[in-house]
Amino acid sequence: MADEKKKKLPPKAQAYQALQDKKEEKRPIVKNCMMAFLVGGTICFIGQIIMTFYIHFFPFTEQTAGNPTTATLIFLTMLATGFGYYDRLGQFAGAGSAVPVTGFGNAVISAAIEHRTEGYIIGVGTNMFKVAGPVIVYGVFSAFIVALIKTILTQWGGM
Amino acid sequence: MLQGKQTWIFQNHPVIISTGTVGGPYEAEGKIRKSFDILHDDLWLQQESFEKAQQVMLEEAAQIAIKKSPIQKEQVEFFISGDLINQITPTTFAARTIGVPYFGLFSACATSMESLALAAAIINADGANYILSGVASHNSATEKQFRYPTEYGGQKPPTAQWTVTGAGCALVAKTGTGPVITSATIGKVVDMGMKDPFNMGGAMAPAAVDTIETHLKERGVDHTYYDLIITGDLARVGHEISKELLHKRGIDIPEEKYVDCGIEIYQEDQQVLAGGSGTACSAVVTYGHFLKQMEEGKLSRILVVATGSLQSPLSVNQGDSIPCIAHAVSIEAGSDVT
Amino acid sequence: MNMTFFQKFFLFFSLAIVCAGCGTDETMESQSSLDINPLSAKPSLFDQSPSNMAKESLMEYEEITGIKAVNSDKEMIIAVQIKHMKRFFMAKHRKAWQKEMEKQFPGWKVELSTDRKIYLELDKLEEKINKDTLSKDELKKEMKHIIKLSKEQT
Repeated sequence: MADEKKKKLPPKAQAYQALQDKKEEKRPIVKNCMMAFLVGGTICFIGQIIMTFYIHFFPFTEQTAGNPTTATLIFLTMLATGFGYYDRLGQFAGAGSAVPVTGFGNAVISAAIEHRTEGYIIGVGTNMFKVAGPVIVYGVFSAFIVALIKTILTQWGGM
Repeated sequence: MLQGKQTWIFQNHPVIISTGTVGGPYEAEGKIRKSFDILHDDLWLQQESFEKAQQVMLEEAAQIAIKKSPIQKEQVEFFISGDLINQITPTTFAARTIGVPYFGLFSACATSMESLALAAAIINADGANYILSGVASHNSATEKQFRYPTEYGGQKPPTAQWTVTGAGCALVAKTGTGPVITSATIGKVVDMGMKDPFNMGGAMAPAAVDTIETHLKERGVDHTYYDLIITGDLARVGHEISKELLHKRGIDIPEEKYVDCGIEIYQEDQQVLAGGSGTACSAVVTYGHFLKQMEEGKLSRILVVATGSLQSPLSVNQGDSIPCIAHAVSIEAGSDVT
Repeated sequence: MNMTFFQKFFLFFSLAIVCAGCGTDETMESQSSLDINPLSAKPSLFDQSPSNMAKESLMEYEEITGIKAVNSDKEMIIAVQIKHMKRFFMAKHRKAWQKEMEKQFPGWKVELSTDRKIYLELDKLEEKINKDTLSKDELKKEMKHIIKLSKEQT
């Protein structure tokens, strides 16, 4: 928490938070980073195998094989999420299972499963992108900003 | 009855004549699995939704409590209960099934002792003869309410807690045999400006300490009066902090006499991070485990301090801190009360 | 259980990485030879010597590990594989080589690709040419198909 915010709190709360911070069990950052590296790498390795498979046995080039590979990975994630393995993987893999496209798939699928009891339209339909929605919104937004910057640089910067 | 500002002394000695506890599959692997009346191996309980499963657990716990008691269901005059889900609907539906006049409460995980304290107060004041008090919570329903979808693979910090799937009911009567409710301290909302909903133990510890201190002072006893002081669901992180705070205020309770339901309920190797939480946590551990020990004569005086973090997903998202509360109820073995 | 599982997992991966690391050093050495087969002349087909010439001139580049090329009377497709670590500059190299080939074969329609799929397809086509199982029309059709494939975008 920012120090400015802390200063607004009464001194008693400040003192308590200082004590709490000392006692609080911190996230094991080094271990988390290592696990994220290993698990994330493994997922990408699997993705690469699938992609090579599509290039060799289907009429996909390196350019176009990305789409079926993503679809396959998301399908596998769907199974892993539905059978309850992905959240357990996520607990020790952290960013390793959240950053690849499987993490995005898991975010969509888990929300869809969760809200199925509320019906297919109101439940699944409205809640499906509850967790994944921000990724789409800010993905599109940041792509727009980057495109804008590039356009400005190439148009007026003479790049 | 009122002693000091926050404490009720129940001189008419309301009695817990029976209890009923129900647990889910994860609790069935826990440390105190033998003290549950029913353990389910299906998280859905053959219901369409987790909320319905929670409702069924509460109904079962109520049925068991009534069945184990000498009275009939028709003799129960009030039902006092609450849970964590939106507008406490699972409890309401359970109350519809039970069919007795009903008080719906919300104090998050402190609801268990709030309902017991209110039941005891009403009975002590001749407001009723038999009151059923109880709570239920369901891991998946609560996760959905407060956090991500259950199957979402987000990483939780080591301070996060695991919501207990279960229900615990206590049938409180004016007369009968069983442990006696001797006093209760109703806590104030304590807010130390903590904002991390994944560290509820740390947020709730000051509330628990405040209530324990007030209780001991207003009841005029030392902590040695109790064989055991039990906190609700502070879990490993919060429990450690509360010990430190109590020490600072001159209350040094020995390690073995100060326990936490969130730590007691699960095995060490169960992956629950800091420990258990949820409305049912303090209820099942107290009504199942500790009252059984009292029955066996291993304990004679306990103080149960159920802690609740009263945030909502809305208030957390809007950047508000987590307000916390703790209610304490003292339960003493029947033969011990004079 | 948490820790033991973590330890097992970590051990497994450390071993895997060490093994993989040791393994690549040796294979890298032995694979330094280029993957190039000159095409034999077939009287029934187009003369493949422009393709062979293109291969020879591209062989000069140390980034390239393999070249496949096939031509008809006015068209040529070349596919190259480049060293893994040089893939970061693949687009730049591709453009340069494409230009060079166009200069070397004025009046020809040259298509240079670094795509693995095009490489595989050309490999198949080269084999067919060497076995002499193709007619001129079939070769043109195959080349058209490969060019179409290389132009596909996502």
